[in-house]
Amino acid sequence: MRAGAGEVMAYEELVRRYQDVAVRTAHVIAPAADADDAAQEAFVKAWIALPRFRVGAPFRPWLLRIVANEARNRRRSAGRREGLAVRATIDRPSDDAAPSPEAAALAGERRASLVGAVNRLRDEDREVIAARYFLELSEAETAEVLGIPRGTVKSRLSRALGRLRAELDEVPT
Amino acid sequence: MSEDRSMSRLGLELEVALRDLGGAIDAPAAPGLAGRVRARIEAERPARATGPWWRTIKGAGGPGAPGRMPRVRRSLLLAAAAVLLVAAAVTAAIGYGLPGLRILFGPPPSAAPSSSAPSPSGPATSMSPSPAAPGADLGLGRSVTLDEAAGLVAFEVALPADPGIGPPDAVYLSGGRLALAWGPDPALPGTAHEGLGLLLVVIDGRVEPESVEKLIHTGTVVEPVTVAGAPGYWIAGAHHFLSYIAPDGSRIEDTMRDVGNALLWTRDGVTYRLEGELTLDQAIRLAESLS
Repeated sequence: MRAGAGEVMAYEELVRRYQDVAVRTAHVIAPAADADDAAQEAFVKAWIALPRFRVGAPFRPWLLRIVANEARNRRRSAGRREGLAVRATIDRPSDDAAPSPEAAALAGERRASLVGAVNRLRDEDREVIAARYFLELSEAETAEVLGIPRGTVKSRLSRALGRLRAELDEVPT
Repeated sequence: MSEDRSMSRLGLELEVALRDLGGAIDAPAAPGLAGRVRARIEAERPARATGPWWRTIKGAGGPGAPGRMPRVRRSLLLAAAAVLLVAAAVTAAIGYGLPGLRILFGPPPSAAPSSSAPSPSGPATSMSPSPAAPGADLGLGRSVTLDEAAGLVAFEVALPADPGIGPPDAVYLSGGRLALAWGPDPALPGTAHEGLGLLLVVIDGRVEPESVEKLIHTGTVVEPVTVAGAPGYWIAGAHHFLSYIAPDGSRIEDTMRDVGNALLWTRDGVTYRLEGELTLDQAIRLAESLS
């Protein structure tokens, strides 16, 4: 067996566990960049940085911060801006009555207008909304992943939601 | 819909709508990502070590040898990170451990507790376990003297510094696993096993990396702790057993003997397991006194 092969395999297992959330994070931070490629690079960087990881600290936000930084770097060179990749189908809420075709159409419109508005936000605003609502990170995790103080998460999110409402206001569907 | 109605609705339900949108974001990991990461790491890994990493750890240079800490520390961290996985996904198949072993939660193996039971006719140098020797009935291996053990294991044997504890009353060796057993003594916390005052198991081995097996969570308490600056785990509660790979590649299932709680930690690449009816504080004090 090669030196360290056991550790590499153990790490590969960690990669498997976190790859989906890592790619998702890379995508919402930098929708125009290749999220899979950014996540791969971030995992390699995390491996190199692993000796600096504080034992006992939560691993996920530590990893996702590396992913977010990698994605941001790529955002700058990704060129033409593309939006979030969103599935077109509307899932039926399981705890609701089946929506009528009209309601489904409205839901589709609503989602489309929301995607458009989110895509028009500044990176800073989109990041905090993505962390809290798309990645469902806690405030503490959001602070770590985005590299901002915890108190800033609240205020930035509040402002971002305000601007998102304004965007929706300007271009109603 | 009218603009007003649309906006009011979106305003009221914005957070719900954002969560819904999050659920529809389509950005899965492409197949093979983990393998590509592994290939990158293997390509970038410096070719400084020629043998298995546990030999690198043990090898010439002694403590603080260049190139040693990063590798040891990384494997400890991987173990620590794996603990978080346990918390995050109790029902998932998870293997984790310190270097030298992994911990599986579940009923102990139904067969014999250890594949390395003491051989009926040990070498001439070994003593025959006296029926009265503490831990003799626990299947810990063949009975050896402390000096013999020091010559047979690939690590330095450390003992508690407390003069009230003194040297162990019995020493057992089984492959890369050394067990030091103390008899009942007022200076010792005692164990749940009659005739045993304290048990210290020292393991020279490595983590089994392919160790993803179906686990059953039984309510065992596992708390990450720090022992003399190194990560460790405090294990209290239900049955658990350990599995580790010895340097020669053999795998040993090692049922913990329910003599009490257990503190696990690593030092210089060797895994220690202190077992007895200790509190966490007592166990850490004792562990940190090993010298």
